Amino acid sequence: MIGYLARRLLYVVFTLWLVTVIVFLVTHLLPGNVAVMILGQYQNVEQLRALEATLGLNDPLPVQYWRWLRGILHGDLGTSVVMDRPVAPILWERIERSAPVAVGALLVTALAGIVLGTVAAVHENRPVDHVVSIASFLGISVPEFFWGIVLILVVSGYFELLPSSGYVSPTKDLFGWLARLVLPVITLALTLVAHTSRLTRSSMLDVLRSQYVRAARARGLPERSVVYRHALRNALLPTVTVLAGNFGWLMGGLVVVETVFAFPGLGGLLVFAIQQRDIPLVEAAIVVIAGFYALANVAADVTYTYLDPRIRYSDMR
Amino acid sequence: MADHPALAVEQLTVTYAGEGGRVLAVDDVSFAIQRGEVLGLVGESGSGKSTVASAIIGLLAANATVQSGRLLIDGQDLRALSPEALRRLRGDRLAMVFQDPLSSLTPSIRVGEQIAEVLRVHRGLSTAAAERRAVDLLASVEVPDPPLRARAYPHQLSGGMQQRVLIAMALACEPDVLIMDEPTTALDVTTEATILDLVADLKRRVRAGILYITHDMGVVARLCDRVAVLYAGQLLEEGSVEEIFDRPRHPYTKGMLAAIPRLDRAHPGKRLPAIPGGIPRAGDLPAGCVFGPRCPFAAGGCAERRQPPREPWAVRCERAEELTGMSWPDAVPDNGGAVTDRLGSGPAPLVRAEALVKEFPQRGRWTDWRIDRGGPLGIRVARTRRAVRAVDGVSLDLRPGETLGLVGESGCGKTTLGRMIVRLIEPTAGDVIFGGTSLIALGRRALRRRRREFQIVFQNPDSSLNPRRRIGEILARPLIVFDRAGRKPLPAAIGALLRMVQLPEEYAGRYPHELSGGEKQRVAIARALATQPRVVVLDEPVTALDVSVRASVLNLLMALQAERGLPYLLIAHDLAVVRQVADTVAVMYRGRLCEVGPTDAVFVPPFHPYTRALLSAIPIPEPATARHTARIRLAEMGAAATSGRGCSFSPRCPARIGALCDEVTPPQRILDRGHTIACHHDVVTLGGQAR
Amino acid sequence: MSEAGAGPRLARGRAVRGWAVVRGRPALAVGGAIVIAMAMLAVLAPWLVRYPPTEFHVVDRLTPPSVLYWFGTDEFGRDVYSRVMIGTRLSMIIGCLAMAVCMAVGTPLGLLAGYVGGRTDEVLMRGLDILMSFPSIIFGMLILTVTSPGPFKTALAVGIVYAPMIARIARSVTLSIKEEDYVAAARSRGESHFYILFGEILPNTWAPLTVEASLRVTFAILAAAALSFLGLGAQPPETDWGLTIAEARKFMTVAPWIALFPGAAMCLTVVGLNLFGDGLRDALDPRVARRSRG
Repeated sequence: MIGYLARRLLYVVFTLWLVTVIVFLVTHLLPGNVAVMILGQYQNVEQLRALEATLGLNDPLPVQYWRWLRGILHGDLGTSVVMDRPVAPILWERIERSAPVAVGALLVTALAGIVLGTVAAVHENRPVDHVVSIASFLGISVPEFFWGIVLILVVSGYFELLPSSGYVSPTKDLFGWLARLVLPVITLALTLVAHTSRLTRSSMLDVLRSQYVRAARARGLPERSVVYRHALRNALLPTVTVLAGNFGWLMGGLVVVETVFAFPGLGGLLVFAIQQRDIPLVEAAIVVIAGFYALANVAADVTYTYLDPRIRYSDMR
Repeated sequence: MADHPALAVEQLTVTYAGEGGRVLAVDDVSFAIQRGEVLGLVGESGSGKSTVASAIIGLLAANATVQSGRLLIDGQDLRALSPEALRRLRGDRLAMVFQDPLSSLTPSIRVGEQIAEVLRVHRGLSTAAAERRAVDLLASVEVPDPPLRARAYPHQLSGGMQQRVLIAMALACEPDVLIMDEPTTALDVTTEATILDLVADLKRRVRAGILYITHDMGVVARLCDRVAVLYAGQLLEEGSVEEIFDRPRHPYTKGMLAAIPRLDRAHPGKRLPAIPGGIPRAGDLPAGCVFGPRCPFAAGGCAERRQPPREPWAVRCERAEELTGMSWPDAVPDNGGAVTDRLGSGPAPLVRAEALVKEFPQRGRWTDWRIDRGGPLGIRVARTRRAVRAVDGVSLDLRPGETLGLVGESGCGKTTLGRMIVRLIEPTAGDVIFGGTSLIALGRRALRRRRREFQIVFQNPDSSLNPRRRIGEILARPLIVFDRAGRKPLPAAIGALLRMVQLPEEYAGRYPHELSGGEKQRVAIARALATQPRVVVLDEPVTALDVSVRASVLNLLMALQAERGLPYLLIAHDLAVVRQVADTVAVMYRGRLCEVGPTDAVFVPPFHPYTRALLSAIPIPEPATARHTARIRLAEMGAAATSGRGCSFSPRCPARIGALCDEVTPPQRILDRGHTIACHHDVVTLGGQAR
Repeated sequence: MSEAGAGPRLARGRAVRGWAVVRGRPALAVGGAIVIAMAMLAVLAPWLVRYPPTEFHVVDRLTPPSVLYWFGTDEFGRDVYSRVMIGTRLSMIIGCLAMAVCMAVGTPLGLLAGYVGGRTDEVLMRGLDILMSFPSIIFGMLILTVTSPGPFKTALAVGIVYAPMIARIARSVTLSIKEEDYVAAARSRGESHFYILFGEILPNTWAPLTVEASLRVTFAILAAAALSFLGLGAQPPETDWGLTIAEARKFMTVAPWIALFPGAAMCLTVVGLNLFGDGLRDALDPRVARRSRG
């Protein structure tokens, strides 16, 4: 098993490295370069050349890449063109704000999705199942930005329960901070809960129809035992894998949701950076996001290994 | 207390929701099992035997319902019980052992715990007491080192051990009724023999009534006291095991017993008495007697009237009395019944396989890398390559007009060998000489041209034919490739192919899913013969077919061989089939040949120890013989040895001499008439072992 | 000894069987109906509107739904109904295009990887894994910023982003079909790789791929809508669902109908597609037990 995890870890590291290469290449296809951005309107050719030389923009691409990569490994993520500040602290600040939203959404998804999916599967074709199925069906059919808008309209506009936008630091105003988290987390989680519960339901139904569950029932085991001891653990395997994949989606969803709720987090920063062509910022943000995604994958692998004894133990024949 | 049978099934009828309405799966089936008695429920696919079992234990599929009937355990009607009461009964007084042990065990829970759970639920034992009892139960089913095995996960155990675990779980609460649904079908022959021994032993020790479901008459003869024969959902005959085997009354029973190939004798001329036709589909049963269309004794009334059971024998045949003593019509051999002397000294071989080897490289572990001295820098990084030798130096001859039967259990490499001969798999070493030309030496294009000369028929009829193509298109393809240079063939040619395998010409327009298994296999045979090959490899051609259909397909193959003088390489794990149709037999174990020789010679002593074990493991469909034959018990198969030295059978061989057998490759002992045995023992010792 | 009566022919034709399949499954029927309706709407949109979608009726701006303006008007006095119709058309075109790109790119890659196996397979799969590790919207954003935004570029971007998913499915289907004996039979006849791939394997991949495609096309539509919402899709004065909703945000409290109607159209289409995809998958699922084996 150690071998398996070690191989996965190496693979993830390799993937991350490739991600940095791709990001670098893609961003350097953007029209214009950093020097043009800095000088803005007031550029003339000599100044441009001089700045380019200073910034090392005339060096061959591999050299620039290596320079950048070295910087990352040392913790230096470059300097933002637009804001004229080092990137790393900017990113960190935004990550601190977005993390609770992302983590909250993931927790809600995992809990609600698995519970709802299991309940629906166990009570297949009964009213509970129909309700959950219809609700999750709607959940996957409606995009999160629309949900967000509707929620704003209803909760903030009509009922005036929660503020619809903005951010307050938790140290200054704990309740305000929480209040502004609720809607984004729910919006982000809605689609994911729907997907997860559908997947859990279908995986659970498959397992409940499997031969070993039938054999367990043939032994007269109480249904609760059959479901929770024999079936659930095996049914969760595909869900766990998908949850890790969902993390990637979550990052994308974060972008949209933060736009809807005008939440100044990582997603909003990325949109801003892309629109402003702030290359260093874009590169750093994407690498960081990919890094989180890779970590999520490793976590999923570890959990999968824990749940499936076939990987843990090899033959005893 | 009234003396109720352990299990009584009365007029059970089960239907399920099919595409066109409700379909009968089980039709008015009744039988009873006393305590300590074993009833064999025999049937082929579509007979309803598994449905009966599911109905008894109350786990029918969602779309199936019990229309009517009573299910009585010790006089108590199961259908009158509440679901909760039924649940408490299951596992406690009524237990079931399923067919595929790996799928029937929960993969994420250790096996000891799964057994202990049953004890805790039904007997209220404490965790510790249940654990101890689970280990005891494993010992009672002869699992070696029970405390160790109890802590294993299901995938860590071999098939035979998994099945013992299932049996132990079923016996945990000393049930009144034990249902065993084909428990050995998924196992190897030698493993199956040990499980059958276990069940025979249990019969003596345990007070339950056992319902043993199977399609293998040999197993029935070995284990059962009474037999019930199911066909297309109806119980056609029931009786004691002696009655059924010695004096079968229903034509179907007579046909089944006549058509199965037997290990102890072969029908003359390689032809088996066969049951024509195929098993009717559930929604499409014949009017009148359900076996009528296939019955050679059918008279006018048979097609009109549904047959009720005729007391006192419970036979569903109105002509049963008339037909007493009449046996199933024999097959007509081509050569008029003359017994050919199958001594294998015929014409020169057409195909020679020489020292064929196939290695499959395995994923190495990081511990395989090491640092050695040597090389330009003083040190060198090297890696031991791991590989599995599926075929290890096998040589064979195939002669025109003769069949070489290649037998062995699963994993012995026979399928790999067969595929190497038709170059579906590239040999790692060795050569195949075809009519004087070495096939390995041929370039790709030359090989392609010659491919028409060697063809293969696969085991599984469902996966042999492309489901999206019509039969006509499937048969046209070999003609297009070899005879027509890309143009479509004439319909007459397709028709001729279909007639050759005794299928109606209109089948050309059908799709594979509209054909039965036997018909699909015939199409596969036609496709293989369409290129007019000079040799055909048959990879377990009848294993996947129903028993009643096998004989007619085998007869077809033999007739085609006689017509064309084709050599066949028949790969099989069923020694009885090989005895029936093969001229020469080669016994294979773990990639090597143990014994090769003419059929008549191989089936009588002297034997290679493995051949002897195989022969003793297969139950003969004859009660007297089956129960009293001493069986040679082999230990379970361990991991494959990676060294190429020594005899591959040595770890399990009852006649093992010692280190000699492990270290030195056994020599080929040549007996007369082309019979060789690879063993360190000499011929006299091997011959001294009586069958 | 012939086998007369051995293999009973299914007397009904395939078309009749197809109808029987649809009849028993409301999801398939309802979903299919919705999809067809929306498709027709998309095609006929220009003839179904009363006012041109870009025409300003400044006097009537921000009026709620009424007889004159069925879905009301927006901040420029444009008829929301017209905009929804035309927007639906564009969005559906984008969705279909994205799906087409997705299948066109993903299917051959998956087939190739599955059929050839070995190193090619590993390299391709690693590459696809990496592509999939990018959150799709972010990758789309990246592509659309490198090239300039626009509706058809959005379709292209979304298609490329979801291609790895289709490639994975095509690969796994190919892998399982490759093991079937009829493929081995073709090899034993010395058939060319071309024939085996297109003559034997491909015809059997249509069904599972179609099911998967119909289940995923909604992802493409929603992703395209999200990108439009962020301003990277259709550019004004053209309109599609995402853009309309984005423009309507400012007026949510005052005139919610501007955002709600396009949203409803989008949701209806996606619901229809999901129903249809689910129904299709159930209908073609070979695991659904149709006969019990004795």
